[in-house]
Amino acid sequence: MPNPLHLFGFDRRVRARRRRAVPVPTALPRTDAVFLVMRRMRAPFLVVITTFSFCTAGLTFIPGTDGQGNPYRMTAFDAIYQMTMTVTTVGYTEAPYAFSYPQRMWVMMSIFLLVVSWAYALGVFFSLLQEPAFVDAVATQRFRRRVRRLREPLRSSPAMVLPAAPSGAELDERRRRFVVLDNQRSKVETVATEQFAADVPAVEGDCRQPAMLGVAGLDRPTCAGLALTDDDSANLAVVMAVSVLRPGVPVLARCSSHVFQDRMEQFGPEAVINPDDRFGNYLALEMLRPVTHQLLMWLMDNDENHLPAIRNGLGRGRWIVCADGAFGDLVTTDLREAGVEVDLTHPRDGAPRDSGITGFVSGTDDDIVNIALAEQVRLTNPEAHIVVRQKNAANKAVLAYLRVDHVYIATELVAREVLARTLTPVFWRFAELAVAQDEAWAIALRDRLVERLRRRTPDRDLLTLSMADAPGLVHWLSRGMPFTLGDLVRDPGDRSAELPVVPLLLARGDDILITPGSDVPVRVDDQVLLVGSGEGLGPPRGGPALRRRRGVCRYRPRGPHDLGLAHPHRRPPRPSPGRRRLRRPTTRRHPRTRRRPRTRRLPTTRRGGGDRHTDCAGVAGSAPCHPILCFPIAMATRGRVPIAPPSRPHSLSRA
Amino acid sequence: MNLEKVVFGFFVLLAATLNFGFFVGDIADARVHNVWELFLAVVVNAIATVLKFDRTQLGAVHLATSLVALLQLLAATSVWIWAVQVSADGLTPTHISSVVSLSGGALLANIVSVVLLVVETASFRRR
Repeated sequence: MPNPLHLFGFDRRVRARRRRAVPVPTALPRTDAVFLVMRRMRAPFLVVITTFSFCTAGLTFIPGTDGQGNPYRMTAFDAIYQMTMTVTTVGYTEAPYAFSYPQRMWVMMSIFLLVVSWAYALGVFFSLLQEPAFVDAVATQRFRRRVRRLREPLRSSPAMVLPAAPSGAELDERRRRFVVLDNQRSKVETVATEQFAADVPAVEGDCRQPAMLGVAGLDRPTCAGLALTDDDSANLAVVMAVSVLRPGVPVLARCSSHVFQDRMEQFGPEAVINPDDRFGNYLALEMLRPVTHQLLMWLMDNDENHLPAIRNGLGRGRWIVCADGAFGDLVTTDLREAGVEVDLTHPRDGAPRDSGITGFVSGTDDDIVNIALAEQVRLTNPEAHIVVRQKNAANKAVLAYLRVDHVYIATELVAREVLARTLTPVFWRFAELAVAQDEAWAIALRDRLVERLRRRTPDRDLLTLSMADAPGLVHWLSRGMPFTLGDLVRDPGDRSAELPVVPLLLARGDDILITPGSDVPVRVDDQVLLVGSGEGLGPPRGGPALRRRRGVCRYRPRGPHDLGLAHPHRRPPRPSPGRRRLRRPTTRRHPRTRRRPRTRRLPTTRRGGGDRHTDCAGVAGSAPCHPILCFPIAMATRGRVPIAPPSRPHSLSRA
Repeated sequence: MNLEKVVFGFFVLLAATLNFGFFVGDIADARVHNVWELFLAVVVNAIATVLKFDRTQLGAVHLATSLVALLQLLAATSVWIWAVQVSADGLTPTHISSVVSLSGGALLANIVSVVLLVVETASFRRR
């Protein structure tokens, strides 16, 4: 059996050259809308000023009479008043006295002159407001302002395309802020119809321009780049700009060809996702390790679906791939590497009429043709595993009523992988390690998860046992008291009850322990990846439980009884001012946490903050209390990601 | 020779010279301050300001000087009009001196503008 690690290309990872941070450009030539207007309005302004002053001066020179017939010449102010009325086409009186005939002749000429110049100026002004360049400039300026106003840790996703809308909606649902930058107006406009909970700044712009990325927030302390356009060279430009200008910032890119994948990997991005290639990998994994595949799909699922059905025996028998582009080659190569017999046919030859095939991939570039081919094959092969490739979910209604086993949509696959890597970065390490485990391990873990969490897709969260996130536990551990993972997943209110939470992975510096047992003792600065159902991990859902869980946030044990073993609901007394320094969990680091393991810290804006443990709703406006130990939801932007390569993380698990 | 630059220099300089012409003379003597010169100074300053809207040609400081000059001259004109049209005493030495002093402020701004123009021209030649 081929090594699945090799199959997924987990072992090919290029380390980028070390670069130093440089200032990110944010100046765009077209952002100064006001100056654009002023420049274009120069000629109209000059015409109005010239004609106005000419007519005003002329009027004062022309002799007139006052009411008694005495000679009277208008003062400068009279003339300006008269011309002001005339230029705005109001002109309702002759002031201060009725005009003489020469004055009337001059005013008549002035009316024609001034009205024309006025109309010209207004015409230019209003056409300027409609002009695309001006509209773009205003939109860019507004976008810049809105991005500047984002105060929370920003996951900037430059060039996020809306076919990847699932990832946008998911990011929004997890209260992660993002911005959208796309060069197609239609895609940008769909942001408005997406009904995101948070304000999502979106602009039409060229993500190839580094300054545009700067405007989109690349210079912000915390951000990540998601280059998800369907244009490879644009994605490459984003990867390049992000990795050169902001070396520490993770960037994830989509690409569709090996050539561009190699080019992107030279810059050391967090991930390059070629959806067609990855689809072949997943299909091969499903054949070789059905349960591992089932488990990963279940944990990575973002639609809160139930445990997917499993199909055994897909690796036996013959597969047919019907495709006309590079997709067919990629999939057949992957399947052959997995040791599966596979034939590639071209759609112009029609649907394969063979019967008795195990599986069929309908992968032409035309969505409708794919559905038709799948239906034809289904007639001759009622039992075959049929996969249909689609560009988007437009035909969902049709596909729901056809007997299709799997629908492959590239943007959904990209969204799933991107979210798996960004929402909880450690989760991807788990996925990598899971593929390296054997099938028995996957079966055991799946059964355990189903038993504990039932079949609904669990949420996942990363818990860091640091002074900032778990002050109580750090105090406890720093006094040498024992605490195991099993203690961690018990209800703080009722220590005899276990929360519906399962630890998937324990990261201690470079060491990673996958599916740790409940007797494993935890240490300060450990990171624990947990999966669990909503009541175990998610924000408290109101009611009395809310109050109780808020109490957990102030939880600072000073002895076994304070740990909740004897008095579960006991809260620590209010610290008196004199003892405040000793008792309050402060932003100051605990001495033990100074010995940091070799980990990479993602850029961060807000650190520590003991204050938020007294009121956990204060973080990002919506951070929930953790039922075990308080930590804010924007975990991944603050959390540390172990960067050990996947080839040597097993020292703990082997021990 | 760039015609645009000629026009630009012409108006910037003319704004300063007209302003100066109005300003010179006894500050309280209305006979040596011609109102038509003030009127022309306002108009030419407005034109110079509009010409400076082109940000690529000259800096924002340039535009700022013109705006200052225009504002001062408009204030001077307002005082003049108030004195002639509204004030019961007509154009008193108090009025005319405040008009001239306001135009003196505008003159300073115009001089700065001209200096900027000269500096730019000189540095342009050196390149």
